[in-house]
Amino acid sequence: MENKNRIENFEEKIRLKIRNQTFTNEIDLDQYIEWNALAGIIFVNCRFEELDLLGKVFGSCDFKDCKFNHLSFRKCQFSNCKFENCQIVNSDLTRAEFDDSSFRNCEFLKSDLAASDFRRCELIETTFKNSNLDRIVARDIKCWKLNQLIKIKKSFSFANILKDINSASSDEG
Amino acid sequence: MDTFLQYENNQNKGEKSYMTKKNIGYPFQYGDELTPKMAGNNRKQAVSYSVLIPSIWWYNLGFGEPIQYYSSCLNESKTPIVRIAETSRVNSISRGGDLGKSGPGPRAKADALKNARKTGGGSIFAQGFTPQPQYGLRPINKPLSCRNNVKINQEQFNGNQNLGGSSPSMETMSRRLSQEYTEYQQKFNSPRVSKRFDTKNYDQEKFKELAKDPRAKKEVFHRTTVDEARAALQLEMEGIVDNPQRIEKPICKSVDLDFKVDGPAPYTHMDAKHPVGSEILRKQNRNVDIKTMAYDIGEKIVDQKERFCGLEQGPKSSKNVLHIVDLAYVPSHEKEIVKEYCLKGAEDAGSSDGIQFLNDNK
Repeated sequence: MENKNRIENFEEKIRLKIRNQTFTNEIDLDQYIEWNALAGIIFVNCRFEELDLLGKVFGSCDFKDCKFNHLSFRKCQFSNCKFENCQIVNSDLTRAEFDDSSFRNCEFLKSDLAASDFRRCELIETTFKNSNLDRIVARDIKCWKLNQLIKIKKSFSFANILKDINSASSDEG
Repeated sequence: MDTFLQYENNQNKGEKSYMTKKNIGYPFQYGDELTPKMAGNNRKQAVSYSVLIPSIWWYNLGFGEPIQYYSSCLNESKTPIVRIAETSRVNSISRGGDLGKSGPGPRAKADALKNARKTGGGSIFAQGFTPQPQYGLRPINKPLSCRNNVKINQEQFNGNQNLGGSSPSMETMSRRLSQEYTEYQQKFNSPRVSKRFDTKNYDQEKFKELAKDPRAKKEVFHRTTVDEARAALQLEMEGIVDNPQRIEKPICKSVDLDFKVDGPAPYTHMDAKHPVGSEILRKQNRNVDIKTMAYDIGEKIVDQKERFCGLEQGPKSSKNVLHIVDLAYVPSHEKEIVKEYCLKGAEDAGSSDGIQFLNDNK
């Protein structure tokens, strides 16, 4: 146990943490992109505006209290990423791939997630409003809504499940 | 075959060092091309004096003695080379003023003299020719006096592909189209993790069309779209698919596959995947091993084949969709693992039919 903590602390130390930054063009973000990827970066309270990140890889990145507006995440690969208290608005996430990632208290608003792919992901209190959820495929997903856990092994109608969850939450509200 | 510039130091004859294109900051970019025939012209003992202009520049810029260039393959026809025979400094100074000939013209001489007066003429070539920044930096409107008869092939300075012939190779064209692609190759794939198909015999216009982001409002060439185009054109050239085309707007918004094709039956659509090797995965902090990555790709391929079936102008069934898995970014020793697990993932998800591997040679 002690060893494990030590490793985590070590990992925490070597991860870059970016706070209170606004990224409004690709050049701002370029300095953090290596190997075609944003790798192991923790973004806290950052804003991302009008960026075209088509095909980029996000490896083990954490996004806390971040806002994404008018972004293209088309064909991006999110692997082992964590989104917490994030808002994703007017963004293109078509054919984005989310693997081993989690969303907690996040909101997708007016975003296009058509043909995106979720596998081994967790969605906790996360909502999708006025967003295109057509043809999303999900495998091994866990969704939590109002302390209810929904497990999805494989679904081609993940959109319907998400819509149901959303409507349930708005009914409760 | 890497091209190189050979530097021979007059003061240390016999000692040769090779300077790659990267470390030559030399203004040859708008030069002409010298063919072996020209280079081998025996009427003059050496090649035209004009060849020496760059050499003098080189000296004047403080990089050392005049340099000599040789092609690494003199027997190849049309292989661009620049060759300078050993010539004394005196020879290099005394040149004709005829503008039709190579060498500095009156204007350049006037400039040179003017500069010599200003600066005190630090170089022994000051009276002959003093380079000014505009000559070296501007790609157009070159002063006549700076023209020379030497043709330099841009390919020598462009990437590491030199396949003979005059048109750019697919790799070179890819780099020209997309800065993102170039950086990707330089940082991510240098040295190359594996061999990749390349050629000069392809339809450049078609390649450009395929390499464009089909959804973008303006003309954009992403690294991803360029790689997709390369895979599509390679498949066409290998006779595996017929006439790959991007799916036009607005159809591509709903049928979100990379290409449509004219066959062979049963294929009507096509999509490309570009997996990477384990070292890259580690550097990208993706926290998955190569087997999991490949297995996931296999599963996703099966899902994707079914995803757009039945849509207007979409594939009728999953059998109509061909998936390319381009292993260009997978090191040779990992290609088999990626293939095996990709097929396994697809098999477990339903079927491994309709998957074509590219650049999978060891």
